Amino acid sequence: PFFCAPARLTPAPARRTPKPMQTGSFSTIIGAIADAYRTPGLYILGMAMMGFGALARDAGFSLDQTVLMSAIIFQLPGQLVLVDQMSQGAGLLVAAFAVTLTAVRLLPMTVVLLPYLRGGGAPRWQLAAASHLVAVTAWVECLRRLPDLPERARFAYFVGFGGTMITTMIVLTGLGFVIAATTPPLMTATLAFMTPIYFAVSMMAAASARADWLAIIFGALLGPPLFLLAPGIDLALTGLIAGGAAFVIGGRLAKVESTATEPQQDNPTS
Amino acid sequence: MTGAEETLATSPWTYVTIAVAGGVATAVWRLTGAILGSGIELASPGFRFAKLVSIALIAGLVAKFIVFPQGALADLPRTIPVLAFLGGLGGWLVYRRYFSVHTQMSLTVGTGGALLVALELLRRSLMA
Repeated sequence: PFFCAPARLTPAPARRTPKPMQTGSFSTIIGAIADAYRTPGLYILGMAMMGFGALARDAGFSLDQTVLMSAIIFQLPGQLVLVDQMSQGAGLLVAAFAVTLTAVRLLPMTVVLLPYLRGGGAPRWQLAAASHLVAVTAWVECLRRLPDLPERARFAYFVGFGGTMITTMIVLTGLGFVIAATTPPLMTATLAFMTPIYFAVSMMAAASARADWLAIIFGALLGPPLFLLAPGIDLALTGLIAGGAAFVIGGRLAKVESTATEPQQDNPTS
Repeated sequence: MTGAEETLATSPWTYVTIAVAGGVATAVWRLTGAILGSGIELASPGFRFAKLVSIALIAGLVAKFIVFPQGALADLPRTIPVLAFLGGLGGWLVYRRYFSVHTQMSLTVGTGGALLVALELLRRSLMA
Protein backbone atom coordinates (compact mmCIF):
# COMPACT_ATOMS: atom_id res chain seq x y z
CA PRO A 1 0.00 0.00 0.00
CA PHE A 2 2.91 2.27 0.67
CA PHE A 3 4.29 1.71 -2.80
CA CYS A 4 2.02 3.76 -4.97
CA ALA A 5 5.19 3.96 -7.01
CA PRO A 6 5.89 4.07 -10.74
CA ALA A 7 6.90 0.91 -12.57
CA ARG A 8 10.59 1.58 -12.48
CA LEU A 9 10.75 1.01 -8.74
CA THR A 10 11.10 -2.56 -7.54
CA PRO A 11 7.80 -3.82 -6.17
CA ALA A 12 7.69 -4.26 -2.42
CA PRO A 13 7.99 -7.80 -1.04
CA ALA A 14 4.74 -9.70 -1.38
CA ARG A 15 4.16 -10.31 2.32
CA ARG A 16 2.86 -7.46 4.41
CA THR A 17 5.71 -6.50 6.69
CA PRO A 18 4.73 -4.94 10.00
CA LYS A 19 5.71 -1.27 10.09
CA PRO A 20 7.45 -0.35 13.30
CA MET A 21 9.13 2.52 11.41
CA GLN A 22 6.90 5.28 10.30
CA THR A 23 7.57 5.28 6.59
CA GLY A 24 8.00 1.59 5.75
CA SER A 25 11.67 2.33 5.50
CA PHE A 26 12.79 -1.25 5.45
CA SER A 27 11.05 -2.23 2.25
CA THR A 28 12.09 1.04 0.66
CA ILE A 29 15.69 0.33 1.49
CA ILE A 30 15.51 -3.19 0.11
CA GLY A 31 14.02 -1.79 -3.06
CA ALA A 32 16.76 0.81 -3.21
CA ILE A 33 19.48 -1.80 -2.83
CA ALA A 34 17.99 -3.86 -5.62
CA ASP A 35 17.71 -0.78 -7.81
CA ALA A 36 21.30 0.10 -7.09
CA TYR A 37 22.48 -3.27 -8.35
CA ARG A 38 20.45 -2.76 -11.48
CA THR A 39 22.07 0.56 -12.23
CA PRO A 40 24.82 0.43 -14.84
CA GLY A 41 26.38 3.33 -12.99
CA LEU A 42 27.29 1.11 -10.08
CA TYR A 43 29.25 -1.26 -12.31
CA ILE A 44 30.83 1.47 -14.34
CA LEU A 45 31.89 3.45 -11.31
CA GLY A 46 32.96 0.13 -9.87
CA MET A 47 35.32 -0.36 -12.76
CA ALA A 48 36.63 3.15 -12.31
CA MET A 49 37.18 2.44 -8.62
CA MET A 50 39.09 -0.68 -9.56
CA GLY A 51 41.20 1.52 -11.80
CA PHE A 52 41.71 3.79 -8.82
CA GLY A 53 42.82 0.88 -6.67
CA ALA A 54 45.43 0.00 -9.25
CA LEU A 55 46.52 3.62 -9.54
CA ALA A 56 46.96 4.02 -5.80
CA ARG A 57 48.97 0.84 -5.60
CA ASP A 58 51.15 2.17 -8.38
CA ALA A 59 51.71 5.33 -6.38
CA GLY A 60 52.91 3.44 -3.34
CA PHE A 61 49.90 3.25 -1.03
CA SER A 62 49.04 0.18 0.98
CA LEU A 63 45.77 -1.69 0.60
CA ASP A 64 44.19 -0.36 3.77
CA GLN A 65 45.13 3.22 2.88
CA THR A 66 43.61 2.88 -0.56
CA VAL A 67 40.39 1.45 0.76
CA LEU A 68 40.33 4.16 3.41
CA MET A 69 40.49 6.81 0.73
CA SER A 70 37.50 5.37 -1.04
CA ALA A 71 35.56 5.15 2.20
CA ILE A 72 36.37 8.57 3.62
CA ILE A 73 36.45 10.64 0.46
CA PHE A 74 34.04 8.68 -1.73
CA GLN A 75 34.50 11.00 -4.63
CA LEU A 76 36.65 9.81 -7.45
CA PRO A 77 38.12 13.12 -8.67
CA GLY A 78 39.09 14.07 -5.13
CA GLN A 79 40.62 10.65 -4.64
CA LEU A 80 42.63 10.96 -7.84
CA VAL A 81 43.86 14.40 -6.85
CA LEU A 82 44.87 13.20 -3.40
CA VAL A 83 46.85 10.27 -4.77
CA ASP A 84 48.48 12.58 -7.26
CA GLN A 85 49.41 15.16 -4.64
CA MET A 86 50.66 12.70 -2.06
CA SER A 87 52.74 10.72 -4.48
CA GLN A 88 54.46 13.98 -5.39
CA GLY A 89 55.18 14.59 -1.74
CA ALA A 90 52.96 17.64 -1.42
CA GLY A 91 52.35 18.98 2.07
CA LEU A 92 49.13 18.47 3.98
CA LEU A 93 47.69 21.93 3.36
CA VAL A 94 48.54 21.98 -0.31
CA ALA A 95 46.95 18.58 -0.84
CA ALA A 96 43.92 19.57 1.21
CA PHE A 97 43.42 22.68 -0.88
CA ALA A 98 43.60 20.75 -4.13
CA VAL A 99 41.19 18.10 -2.91
CA THR A 100 38.77 20.62 -1.48
CA LEU A 101 38.56 22.37 -4.82
CA THR A 102 37.49 19.16 -6.53
CA ALA A 103 34.91 18.65 -3.83
CA VAL A 104 33.26 22.04 -4.22
CA ARG A 105 30.68 20.54 -6.52
CA LEU A 106 29.42 18.44 -3.63
CA LEU A 107 27.98 21.62 -2.17
CA PRO A 108 25.44 22.39 -4.89
CA MET A 109 24.80 18.69 -5.35
CA THR A 110 23.95 18.22 -1.69
CA VAL A 111 21.94 21.43 -1.62
CA VAL A 112 19.95 20.21 -4.60
CA LEU A 113 19.27 16.82 -3.06
CA LEU A 114 18.40 17.94 0.46
CA PRO A 115 14.92 19.30 -0.27
CA TYR A 116 13.96 15.88 -1.58
CA LEU A 117 15.35 14.13 1.47
CA ARG A 118 13.84 16.52 3.97
CA GLY A 119 10.28 15.39 3.49
CA GLY A 120 10.66 12.06 5.25
CA GLY A 121 10.87 13.66 8.65
CA ALA A 122 14.37 12.41 9.34
CA PRO A 123 16.17 14.31 12.09
CA ARG A 124 18.88 16.82 11.18
CA TRP A 125 21.77 14.64 12.24
CA GLN A 126 20.61 11.83 9.99
CA LEU A 127 20.42 14.21 7.06
CA ALA A 128 23.93 15.40 7.83
CA ALA A 129 25.23 11.84 8.11
CA ALA A 130 23.48 10.82 4.90
CA SER A 131 25.19 13.67 3.10
CA HIS A 132 28.34 11.59 3.19
CA LEU A 133 26.71 9.37 0.59
CA VAL A 134 26.35 12.18 -1.91
CA ALA A 135 28.48 11.41 -4.95
CA VAL A 136 27.95 11.89 -8.61
CA THR A 137 26.56 8.47 -9.49
CA ALA A 138 24.15 8.30 -6.57
CA TRP A 139 23.26 11.90 -7.26
CA VAL A 140 22.45 11.59 -10.95
CA GLU A 141 20.44 8.45 -10.32
CA CYS A 142 18.53 9.75 -7.35
CA LEU A 143 17.83 13.09 -8.98
CA ARG A 144 16.06 11.11 -11.66
CA ARG A 145 14.18 8.80 -9.33
CA LEU A 146 13.42 10.72 -6.17
CA PRO A 147 10.85 13.07 -7.69
CA ASP A 148 8.78 10.05 -8.66
CA LEU A 149 8.78 8.63 -5.17
CA PRO A 150 6.30 9.57 -2.46
CA GLU A 151 7.85 12.25 -0.30
CA ARG A 152 8.13 10.12 2.77
CA ALA A 153 10.11 7.39 0.99
CA ARG A 154 12.83 9.55 -0.45
CA PHE A 155 15.23 9.64 2.46
CA ALA A 156 15.16 5.90 3.03
CA TYR A 157 15.59 5.29 -0.68
CA PHE A 158 18.59 7.55 -0.84
CA VAL A 159 20.20 5.90 2.16
CA GLY A 160 19.64 2.47 0.66
CA PHE A 161 20.91 3.47 -2.74
CA GLY A 162 23.88 5.52 -1.58
CA GLY A 163 24.81 3.06 1.12
CA THR A 164 24.92 0.24 -1.40
CA MET A 165 27.06 2.34 -3.69
CA ILE A 166 29.67 3.24 -1.12
CA THR A 167 29.92 -0.28 0.26
CA THR A 168 30.32 -1.80 -3.17
CA MET A 169 32.82 0.84 -4.21
CA ILE A 170 34.93 0.18 -1.16
CA VAL A 171 35.03 -3.51 -1.92
CA LEU A 172 35.84 -2.96 -5.58
CA THR A 173 38.62 -0.52 -4.76
CA GLY A 174 40.25 -3.23 -2.72
CA LEU A 175 39.71 -5.72 -5.50
CA GLY A 176 41.26 -3.39 -8.05
CA PHE A 177 44.25 -2.94 -5.80
CA VAL A 178 44.75 -6.65 -5.42
CA ILE A 179 44.53 -7.57 -9.09
CA ALA A 180 46.51 -4.55 -10.25
CA ALA A 181 49.75 -6.44 -10.55
CA THR A 182 48.33 -8.70 -13.18
CA THR A 183 46.40 -6.20 -15.31
CA PRO A 184 47.80 -4.76 -18.55
CA PRO A 185 47.98 -0.94 -18.68
CA LEU A 186 45.48 -0.69 -21.50
CA MET A 187 42.94 -2.43 -19.29
CA THR A 188 43.63 0.01 -16.48
CA ALA A 189 43.29 2.92 -18.88
CA THR A 190 39.98 1.60 -20.18
CA LEU A 191 38.64 1.17 -16.67
CA ALA A 192 39.55 4.74 -15.86
CA PHE A 193 37.99 5.87 -19.13
CA MET A 194 34.58 4.48 -18.26
CA THR A 195 33.84 7.10 -15.65
CA PRO A 196 33.90 10.27 -17.74
CA ILE A 197 31.74 8.70 -20.42
CA TYR A 198 29.30 7.52 -17.81
CA PHE A 199 29.07 10.92 -16.15
CA ALA A 200 28.56 12.56 -19.53
CA VAL A 201 25.79 10.29 -20.73
CA SER A 202 24.07 10.32 -17.34
CA MET A 203 23.86 14.06 -17.34
CA MET A 204 22.66 14.19 -20.89
CA ALA A 205 20.00 11.60 -20.21
CA ALA A 206 18.87 13.53 -17.14
CA ALA A 207 18.85 16.91 -18.84
CA SER A 208 15.27 18.00 -18.93
CA ALA A 209 15.38 21.70 -19.61
CA ARG A 210 17.22 23.71 -22.18
CA ALA A 211 19.23 25.36 -19.43
CA ASP A 212 20.55 21.94 -18.41
CA TRP A 213 21.93 21.43 -21.90
CA LEU A 214 23.46 24.88 -21.90
CA ALA A 215 25.17 24.09 -18.62
CA ILE A 216 26.60 20.88 -20.07
CA ILE A 217 27.84 22.50 -23.27
CA PHE A 218 29.27 25.62 -21.65
CA GLY A 219 30.86 23.55 -18.92
CA ALA A 220 32.49 21.20 -21.40
CA LEU A 221 33.79 24.10 -23.47
CA LEU A 222 35.13 26.03 -20.52
CA GLY A 223 36.69 23.17 -18.63
CA PRO A 224 39.88 22.49 -20.62
CA PRO A 225 40.85 26.12 -21.28
CA LEU A 226 40.32 27.12 -17.66
CA PHE A 227 42.43 24.18 -16.62
CA LEU A 228 45.27 25.63 -18.65
CA LEU A 229 44.70 29.16 -17.45
CA ALA A 230 44.00 28.60 -13.79
CA PRO A 231 44.73 25.04 -12.70
CA GLY A 232 43.48 24.35 -9.22
CA ILE A 233 40.47 26.62 -9.26
CA ASP A 234 39.48 25.79 -12.82
CA LEU A 235 36.62 23.50 -11.84
CA ALA A 236 35.05 25.98 -9.45
CA LEU A 237 35.33 28.72 -12.04
CA THR A 238 33.93 26.51 -14.77
CA GLY A 239 30.93 25.66 -12.67
CA LEU A 240 30.18 29.21 -11.67
CA ILE A 241 30.76 30.85 -15.04
CA ALA A 242 29.21 28.18 -17.22
CA GLY A 243 26.41 27.46 -14.77
CA GLY A 244 25.73 31.13 -14.31
CA ALA A 245 25.62 31.69 -18.06
CA ALA A 246 23.26 28.77 -18.48
CA PHE A 247 21.08 30.14 -15.70
CA VAL A 248 20.88 33.60 -17.20
CA ILE A 249 20.43 32.53 -20.79
CA GLY A 250 18.03 29.77 -19.88
CA GLY A 251 15.97 32.21 -17.90
CA ARG A 252 15.80 34.67 -20.76
CA LEU A 253 14.89 31.95 -23.22
CA ALA A 254 12.06 30.87 -20.97
CA LYS A 255 10.84 34.43 -20.66
CA VAL A 256 10.96 35.02 -24.38
CA GLU A 257 8.96 31.90 -25.02
CA SER A 258 6.33 32.49 -22.41
CA THR A 259 5.79 36.18 -23.07
CA ALA A 260 5.92 36.31 -26.80
CA THR A 261 3.76 39.40 -26.99
CA GLU A 262 5.98 41.54 -24.82
CA PRO A 263 8.65 43.68 -26.45
CA GLN A 264 11.97 41.88 -26.46
CA GLN A 265 14.85 43.10 -24.36
CA ASP A 266 18.38 43.19 -25.61
CA ASN A 267 20.21 40.03 -24.70
CA PRO A 268 23.88 40.83 -24.19
CA THR A 269 26.03 37.89 -25.22
CA SER A 270 27.75 36.29 -22.25
CA MET B 1 62.87 15.16 -1.96
CA THR B 2 63.06 12.58 0.79
CA GLY B 3 62.11 9.02 0.02
CA ALA B 4 58.45 9.94 0.21
CA GLU B 5 57.26 7.18 -2.04
CA GLU B 6 58.94 4.36 -0.23
CA THR B 7 57.49 5.33 3.11
CA LEU B 8 54.03 6.26 1.91
CA ALA B 9 52.61 2.90 2.77
CA THR B 10 54.29 2.61 6.13
CA SER B 11 54.16 6.15 7.46
CA PRO B 12 51.44 6.99 9.98
CA TRP B 13 51.46 10.50 8.57
CA THR B 14 49.84 9.10 5.45
CA TYR B 15 46.73 8.23 7.41
CA VAL B 16 46.54 11.70 8.89
CA THR B 17 46.88 13.26 5.47
CA ILE B 18 44.19 11.03 4.04
CA ALA B 19 41.87 11.86 6.89
CA VAL B 20 42.43 15.60 6.77
CA ALA B 21 43.37 16.46 3.20
CA GLY B 22 40.99 13.84 1.90
CA GLY B 23 38.22 13.36 4.41
CA VAL B 24 37.77 16.75 5.99
CA ALA B 25 38.38 18.64 2.76
CA THR B 26 35.54 16.74 1.15
CA ALA B 27 33.19 16.47 4.08
CA VAL B 28 33.00 20.22 4.65
CA TRP B 29 31.19 20.68 1.37
CA ARG B 30 28.75 17.87 2.02
CA LEU B 31 27.94 19.08 5.52
CA THR B 32 27.62 22.69 4.46
CA GLY B 33 25.33 21.55 1.70
CA ALA B 34 23.27 19.58 4.18
CA ILE B 35 22.92 22.62 6.42
CA LEU B 36 22.16 25.09 3.65
CA GLY B 37 19.97 22.68 1.75
CA SER B 38 17.54 22.31 4.58
CA GLY B 39 16.33 25.81 3.97
CA ILE B 40 15.99 25.86 0.22
CA GLU B 41 12.78 25.43 -1.71
CA LEU B 42 12.73 23.16 -4.72
CA ALA B 43 11.11 25.66 -7.04
CA SER B 44 13.35 28.57 -6.14
CA PRO B 45 15.73 30.21 -8.60
CA GLY B 46 18.56 29.68 -6.12
CA PHE B 47 17.98 25.95 -6.38
CA ARG B 48 17.96 26.07 -10.17
CA PHE B 49 21.19 28.01 -10.14
CA ALA B 50 22.92 25.54 -7.82
CA LYS B 51 21.81 22.67 -10.02
CA LEU B 52 23.14 24.31 -13.16
CA VAL B 53 26.45 25.10 -11.46
CA SER B 54 26.92 21.50 -10.43
CA ILE B 55 26.03 20.21 -13.89
CA ALA B 56 28.46 22.64 -15.54
CA LEU B 57 31.17 21.65 -13.10
CA ILE B 58 30.87 17.98 -13.89
CA ALA B 59 30.76 18.70 -17.61
CA GLY B 60 33.98 20.66 -17.20
CA LEU B 61 35.53 17.86 -15.20
CA VAL B 62 34.67 15.31 -17.87
CA ALA B 63 35.97 17.48 -20.69
CA LYS B 64 39.15 18.17 -18.79
CA PHE B 65 39.73 14.51 -18.07
CA ILE B 66 39.27 13.53 -21.69
CA VAL B 67 41.47 16.29 -23.08
CA PHE B 68 44.12 16.19 -20.32
CA PRO B 69 44.00 12.71 -18.85
CA GLN B 70 46.04 11.39 -15.93
CA GLY B 71 47.33 7.99 -15.04
CA ALA B 72 47.36 5.09 -17.46
CA LEU B 73 45.11 6.99 -19.83
CA ALA B 74 47.81 9.61 -20.24
CA ASP B 75 50.13 7.07 -21.81
CA LEU B 76 47.95 6.85 -24.86
CA PRO B 77 48.32 9.42 -27.63
CA ARG B 78 46.03 12.38 -27.03
CA THR B 79 43.63 11.77 -29.88
CA ILE B 80 42.60 8.22 -29.05
CA PRO B 81 40.62 8.92 -25.87
CA VAL B 82 39.02 11.96 -27.47
CA LEU B 83 37.92 9.98 -30.51
CA ALA B 84 36.66 7.10 -28.40
CA PHE B 85 34.74 9.52 -26.21
CA LEU B 86 33.12 11.34 -29.10
CA GLY B 87 32.35 8.04 -30.79
CA GLY B 88 30.68 6.76 -27.66
CA LEU B 89 28.55 9.88 -27.30
CA GLY B 90 27.70 9.78 -30.98
CA GLY B 91 26.51 6.25 -30.43
CA TRP B 92 24.31 7.54 -27.63
CA LEU B 93 22.46 9.82 -30.00
CA VAL B 94 21.46 6.71 -31.90
CA TYR B 95 20.82 4.45 -28.91
CA ARG B 96 18.51 6.90 -27.23
CA ARG B 97 15.94 6.46 -29.95
CA TYR B 98 15.58 2.76 -29.47
CA PHE B 99 16.50 1.80 -25.95
CA SER B 100 15.55 2.50 -22.37
CA VAL B 101 17.69 4.83 -20.33
CA HIS B 102 19.71 2.15 -18.59
CA THR B 103 20.41 0.28 -21.79
CA GLN B 104 21.34 3.52 -23.55
CA MET B 105 23.88 4.31 -20.90
CA SER B 106 25.39 0.83 -20.78
CA LEU B 107 25.69 0.71 -24.56
CA THR B 108 27.26 4.15 -24.70
CA VAL B 109 29.85 3.36 -22.09
CA GLY B 110 30.50 0.01 -23.69
CA THR B 111 30.91 1.60 -27.10
CA GLY B 112 33.32 4.16 -25.74
CA GLY B 113 35.41 1.56 -23.98
CA ALA B 114 35.43 -0.75 -26.97
CA LEU B 115 36.46 2.10 -29.25
CA LEU B 116 39.30 3.00 -26.95
CA VAL B 117 40.66 -0.53 -26.95
CA ALA B 118 40.11 -0.93 -30.69
CA LEU B 119 41.80 2.33 -31.63
CA GLU B 120 44.77 1.65 -29.43
CA LEU B 121 45.24 -1.89 -30.71
CA LEU B 122 44.93 -0.59 -34.24
CA ARG B 123 47.56 2.01 -33.57
CA ARG B 124 49.89 -0.55 -32.12
CA SER B 125 49.49 -2.93 -35.01
CA LEU B 126 50.13 -0.11 -37.47
CA MET B 127 53.27 0.89 -35.68
CA ALA B 128 54.70 -2.57 -35.17
